[in-house]
Amino acid sequence: MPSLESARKKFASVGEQTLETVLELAPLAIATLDLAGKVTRWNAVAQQLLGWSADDMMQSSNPGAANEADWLRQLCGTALREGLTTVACRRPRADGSAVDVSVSVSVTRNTGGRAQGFVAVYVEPTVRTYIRHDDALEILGQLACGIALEINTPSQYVGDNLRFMSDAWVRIVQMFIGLNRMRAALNAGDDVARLRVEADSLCRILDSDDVEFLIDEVPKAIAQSIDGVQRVGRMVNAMRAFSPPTGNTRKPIDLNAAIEATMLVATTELKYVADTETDFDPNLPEVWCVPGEINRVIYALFSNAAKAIADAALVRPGIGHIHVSTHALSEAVELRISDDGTGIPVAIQPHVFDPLYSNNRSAKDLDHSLAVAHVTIVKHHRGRIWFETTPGVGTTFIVQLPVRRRAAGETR
Amino acid sequence: MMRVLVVDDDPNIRSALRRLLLFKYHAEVTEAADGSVALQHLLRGTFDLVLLDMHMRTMDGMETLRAIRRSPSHGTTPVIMLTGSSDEDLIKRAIALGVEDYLVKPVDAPLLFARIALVLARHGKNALLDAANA
Repeated sequence: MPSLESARKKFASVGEQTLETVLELAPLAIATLDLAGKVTRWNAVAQQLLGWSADDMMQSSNPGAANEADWLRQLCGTALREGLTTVACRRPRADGSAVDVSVSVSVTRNTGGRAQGFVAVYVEPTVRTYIRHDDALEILGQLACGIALEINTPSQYVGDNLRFMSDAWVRIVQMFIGLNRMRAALNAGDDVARLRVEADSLCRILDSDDVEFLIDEVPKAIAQSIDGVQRVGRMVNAMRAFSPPTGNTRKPIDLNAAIEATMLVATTELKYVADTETDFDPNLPEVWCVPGEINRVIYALFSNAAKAIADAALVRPGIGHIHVSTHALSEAVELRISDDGTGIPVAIQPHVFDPLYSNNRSAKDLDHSLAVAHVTIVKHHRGRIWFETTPGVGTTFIVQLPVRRRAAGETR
Repeated sequence: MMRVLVVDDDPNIRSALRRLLLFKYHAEVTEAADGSVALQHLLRGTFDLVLLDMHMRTMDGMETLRAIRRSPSHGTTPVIMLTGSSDEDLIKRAIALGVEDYLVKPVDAPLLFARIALVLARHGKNALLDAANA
């Protein structure tokens, strides 16, 4: 019969193997460190994320890996003093690029509570974690407010026209009644004097300015009301394109149509500050993307342009200009949104797409949605986004999205 | 005949209001697409009532109202503001500037007619409504 001690050892061994497997297979970048802060494990996801091999990290065999290991060691010191430690930061990669991550370090303890080592977990933020709850509410509030204002306008004139037509109908009915009386008088063979009374009564209605007015204005009121209802319908359809962040099904979209729908949703933000001009490539191929995400990126770029122009108007009053264009490239489609707003100050330029910088509420010059736009385009759609700016003159944001060529025989 | 100046940057709203006021009051309606055009009309003629939109690109409703109230010839012309915003601060500012009434769009026509009647009565212009209804 095995002793309790051997059973415990066996159980511990199974536990360790299980832990090994979990650490290796978990879809997170994980490092373990001993009490001295030396890296003892660097799993496959971590290797993929930062580019350092497990050997590099455990042996600190090259300066970059040694630097990363040293940085982790310092975090371990903080975790030992203060408990679970989480930092949002940008870490250098082996290929010279950098990645935004959230790194959490925790002390591992044995059953007696004694510190045994450390576990560090790197989490790469996704779009959903970039969008903070209050950001999502802010976007929703902004959209709802704009839509409410835009729907108000057709509601007002459709309502006024219906009221007008309702009053006009009373007048038209009076005419029908007059005509009916005339016919009845004629059919009954009434005398001329009675017929003249009815005719005079009808003529008084027909001779009034109202008749000509109604002939002119009722068709206009009907046409305008139909247009108003269609305007509301277009607005509602455009809003539907802004699916919630959970809707992440990829579909082929017409980018020109997506831009037009987004411009409609952003009408209130744009119309009081700028004239918007479009120059769409009619031969633009469809782009496979998550439509709601791309619409939110376009909205963010329009919103950013409108704010830059509104800020510029504080020092040089007047209406600004936004120019939107699309172009088909060999393997991608390109969207350009230019404004003649404030431009981006030199000091801010390196941080435009930096979520850690724009997350700081004191960084009022930057819109967090631009950082979200960067993640959406670069990480989710393998595209590119950048800007060209001249402070005091304006900014152009450029987005390129790859075109997915349909394979032979593939149907949509 | 009642003379009304309708100031709104949306041509559909202007024409629908013109139609409504013409048919209801046989009013003489002048349209202006923004505050600066409205002020030009005010310089050239007299009006019994101004229906003023708040949000306009070139010269918004608040600026226009301020200019009307400063004008020696139109300082007391009644102004009813029609706006899509129910922002209380905006309403308070408009009242402080001397707006007669403030209606949030979409405004139901009977409510607009009732407010017009009240404002004109306050300015001793009931006769205009009586003439229109005669």
